[in-house]
Amino acid sequence: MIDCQCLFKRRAGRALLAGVNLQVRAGETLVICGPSGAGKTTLLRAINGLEPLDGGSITVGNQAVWPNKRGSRELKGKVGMLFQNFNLFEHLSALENIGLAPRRVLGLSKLKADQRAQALLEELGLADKAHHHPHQLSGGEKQRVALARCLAMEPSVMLLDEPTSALDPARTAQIAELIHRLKRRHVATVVVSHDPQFGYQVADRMLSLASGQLVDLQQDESCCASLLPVVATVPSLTRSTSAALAS
Amino acid sequence: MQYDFDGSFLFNPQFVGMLTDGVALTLAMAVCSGVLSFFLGTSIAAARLWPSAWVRLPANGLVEVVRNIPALFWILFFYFVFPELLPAPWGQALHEWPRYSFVAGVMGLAVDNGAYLSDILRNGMAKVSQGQRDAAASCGMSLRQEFFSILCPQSLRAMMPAIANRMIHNFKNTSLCVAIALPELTWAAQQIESMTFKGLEVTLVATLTYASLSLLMAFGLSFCFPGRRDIDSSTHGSCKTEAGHAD
Repeated sequence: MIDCQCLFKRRAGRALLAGVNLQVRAGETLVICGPSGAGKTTLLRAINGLEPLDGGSITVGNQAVWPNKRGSRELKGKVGMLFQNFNLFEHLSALENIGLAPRRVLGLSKLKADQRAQALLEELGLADKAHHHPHQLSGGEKQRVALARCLAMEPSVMLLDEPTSALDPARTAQIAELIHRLKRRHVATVVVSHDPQFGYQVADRMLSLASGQLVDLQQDESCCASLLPVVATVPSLTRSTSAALAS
Repeated sequence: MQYDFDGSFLFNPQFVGMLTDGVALTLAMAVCSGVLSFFLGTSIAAARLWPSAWVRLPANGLVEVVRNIPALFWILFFYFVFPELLPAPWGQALHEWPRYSFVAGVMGLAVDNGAYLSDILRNGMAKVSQGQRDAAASCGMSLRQEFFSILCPQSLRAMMPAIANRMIHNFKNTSLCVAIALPELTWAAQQIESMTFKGLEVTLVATLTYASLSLLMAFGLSFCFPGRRDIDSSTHGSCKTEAGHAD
């Protein structure tokens, strides 16, 4: 579904991505962790065609995202991205934020787009906030509206940048459940998270991005060891991760 | 001072008719050139924000040229020079068209005002955060959809006070059309003065008319477009996340 080959990106004389190769299958959930400034968000933006690269190629489905002049516009919303700072359209209500792209890009009627938006708001517990503007919402509510905006396009790939940064534990569990549901719908999901506990709840595979390179946490013992205290507290630890840590 | 103030000409139906016709033509010119300059300014602003330098640079050049030439020149250009640049039969037809002075005046004012408006609009659009543009691209919107659905509504609201100022300035610039003998308010006042030799009185009437109409326009524009209220509260207001910390 997602195929990144040999990605290079330099910024301010530093290699953020130094030959990154990444493949994500349909229905797979990949979690990328790593220190701040390691280039995790840059990698997500690149997969969505928002970040010009210095080298390499990115394909989503059969569509070339990079090199491609039209970038993410070419994907017509098939890659949904939840931004770390949400980027809601400030002049539109929550309902309009969610319904705008289905109307403009997918050509849905206003009625159908509003119905879809309302259903998503109800699913995410925001039915009563439909007509609130972003400045009237809390951080967590904004995050869920932004998530609903991605889901309204029925994407085949979801890129989530710190999806639980503004959420309480109950809402975090709800997002984890939502990611599992995406998995069942064969959506390829890439999650960038600082929260390894959340990462292990949802991940099929966990990678760490450091010094411009991706490291598989299930194969790198030193990385696994650093996460042991966290993993021990997570009851739903995946079998493969347990095995990797045990070895 | 021994000036004999005499406003009795205001009761002469011929002069009253000339003044009211002048006011009507002034308003018609202000509205037509205002609307035309708005579309012109929006198009130039869009061109100045276009990713391709082939579109951006000529638009920047056009604005620089227009801004550095007086508005009166553009009115004279469209009245005297423009018809000469067209094929002879077309130029002749324009010269013989009785309403061409009105059209030339509107075009001259619109070009001048459009260049300034494009600057205001471009600055307003540049202030819309890159994140909003990324979100639109990520949703699959085309550049045109992003421009009309995201950039324009947000920047217009923020820039409305500056646009209103420019429209009032454009209204006052209609007096320059006296140079092409267009019978607007200033022309009517000059004609009445030459017939009655009551320069002070007629100029006072014209001045008060311009001032009242400008005030009415300012009031009307501020009433129709309340300005930055929503944007202000969204960008300057802090909000709390569900986890309890400030964004």
